[in-house]
Amino acid sequence: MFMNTGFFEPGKTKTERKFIQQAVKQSQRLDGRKSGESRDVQLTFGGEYGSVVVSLGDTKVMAQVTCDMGTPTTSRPNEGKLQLYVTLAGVSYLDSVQKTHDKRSLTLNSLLERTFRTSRCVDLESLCVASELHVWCIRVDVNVLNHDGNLYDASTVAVLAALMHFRRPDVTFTDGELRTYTEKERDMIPLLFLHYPVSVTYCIYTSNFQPFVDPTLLEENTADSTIILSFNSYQELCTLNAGGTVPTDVRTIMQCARSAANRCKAMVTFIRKALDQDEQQCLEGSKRNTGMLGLMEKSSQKLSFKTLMKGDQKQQQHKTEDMDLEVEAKPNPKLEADEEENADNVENVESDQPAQEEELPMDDSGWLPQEPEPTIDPTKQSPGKPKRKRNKGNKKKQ
Amino acid sequence: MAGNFELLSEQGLRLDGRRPHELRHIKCKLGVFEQPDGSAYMEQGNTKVLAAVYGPHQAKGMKTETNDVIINCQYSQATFATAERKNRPRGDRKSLEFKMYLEQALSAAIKSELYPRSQIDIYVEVLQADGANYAVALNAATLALIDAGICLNEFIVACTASLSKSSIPLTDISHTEEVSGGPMLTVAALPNAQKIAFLEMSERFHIDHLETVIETAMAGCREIRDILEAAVREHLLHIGSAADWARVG
Repeated sequence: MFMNTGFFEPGKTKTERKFIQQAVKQSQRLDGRKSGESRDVQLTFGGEYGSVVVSLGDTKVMAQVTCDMGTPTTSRPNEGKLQLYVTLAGVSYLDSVQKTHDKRSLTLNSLLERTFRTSRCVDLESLCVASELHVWCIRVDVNVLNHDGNLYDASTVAVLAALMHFRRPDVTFTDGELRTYTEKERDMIPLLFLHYPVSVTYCIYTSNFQPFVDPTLLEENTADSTIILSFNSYQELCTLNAGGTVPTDVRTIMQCARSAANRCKAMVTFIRKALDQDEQQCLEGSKRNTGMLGLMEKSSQKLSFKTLMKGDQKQQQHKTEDMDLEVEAKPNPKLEADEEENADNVENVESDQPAQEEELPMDDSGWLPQEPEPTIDPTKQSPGKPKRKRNKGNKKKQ
Repeated sequence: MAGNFELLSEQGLRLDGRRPHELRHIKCKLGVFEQPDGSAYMEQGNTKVLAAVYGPHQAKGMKTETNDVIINCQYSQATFATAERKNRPRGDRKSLEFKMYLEQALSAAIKSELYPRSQIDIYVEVLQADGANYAVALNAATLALIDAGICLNEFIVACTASLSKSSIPLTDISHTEEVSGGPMLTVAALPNAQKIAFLEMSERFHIDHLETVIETAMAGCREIRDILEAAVREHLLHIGSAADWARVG
């Protein structure tokens, strides 16, 4: 369950810092990812509405949504309430001073508040039952179970998925009498959203100007500055936090923003797909994960970004393949870096097209300057060839 | 949020009569206190902030891991600073956040390698909060650091920016503009190096506007920097007038 237990927090020593800076200079990461590559996101929905566990690599965050009837504030009598509570329960190291712990929970709290409350993600007016008397108070509890870097992304995905998964009971208010219906009497109602925000985190080091997306704990602690961006599916920026010990410039922030916008869109699509799948499973009546242990067991149903989004990519691939067959005759002098192939861009490679690069949301390194890759024989294109290096299962090379 | 009204009228004036790119009136003074090593008082419109610096002095605690300076900030808002009396001047979440951001921004400005194993304490007190509290606090802290004689890489200046409904960027947000629900972006930058030490943004707007808003805030930072520099020079002339050593460039 807790996979990253160690006695001391990684990334605080000078040696580790030096090591990461050197590795970053050569564009290498410990887990072999590229600078624009993100870890796989896995969602597990619980038996009750509104509970979800998100794992981003080893980082695990659990979010639970509950609702209760309450009275509205006097300044906003016809709006419901949305409250977020964050606990960093699974994060404790022998040498972590209380200050850094508080700092982390503070940033996380502030970020989640800005992303969901200030940007008005949930339509609070729809939560009003009787103006000035009764409103729904939605409470989201976020528990960080394991911290292996990038708490922000994991938490925003968890909160969004939990809110989207949640259903509240139906209620009527007639003649001054409040009547709440149970699940058996009337269907539960989902929440109304104005937009769907998700965040992306980048780490910047002095030895390399490229930002690294989705840092692990070691990378995060040794980073010189961090940029956290929150976009919604309409490409609107909801939160931005940039800072660290070394200042950054506007260009880097803008570049990060552009690639983050795409990634966030893909993430929201993924959450929607995962929710659909979960609902299907619920209707089929297959066993639902109940309780916290149910969520954490290895055998529980996990919905992963890779598998759900693979379908999308395959579709794109087939679409552009038809285009390719027409273009094949002409030589392709200009090719973009195809990171997955790991091949050097030789002119006569009939590899996949720039158009496809843009469709693939996860690998954002297309906009980064090309990294010198070790030359491997250019592989011929074949249908059904997996686009992602991360699909360890079916990696076939010809 | 209620009252999402237009921040710019048809004549192109804001709620307090400023043009979109205009900053509020800035008044600043260095060396207002005798006891701290450095102090400054800064007014930006109606936001009034006091800053005091103690240091560099011996670091308290066992922070031997770095050879860099330990920057300790405290952000506090007087109980009478806001329209409603605030019972807790410091230690609440917002103040702790600002404290963190101040430390972050100032660590980018101070030449840390010159003060190994030392600690610099910066105390900021907001006497009247009328928007852009963090930005004015940071500007006051910069002046106080200069008054204390602590070596800085460069002036670190903060400015706020927003976007009106008609997508015109506005500089230097006041409190009423802040609560009216428009987006707000705070930038702490090193203007000469064109680098950003800290950036924070809330509410939402489309990514296409992001660059313009950041640029507006950076331009605001450059303007504020010129004003602060002029104030520092004046202060130097004043204290060095007897021996005439303050005649700089």
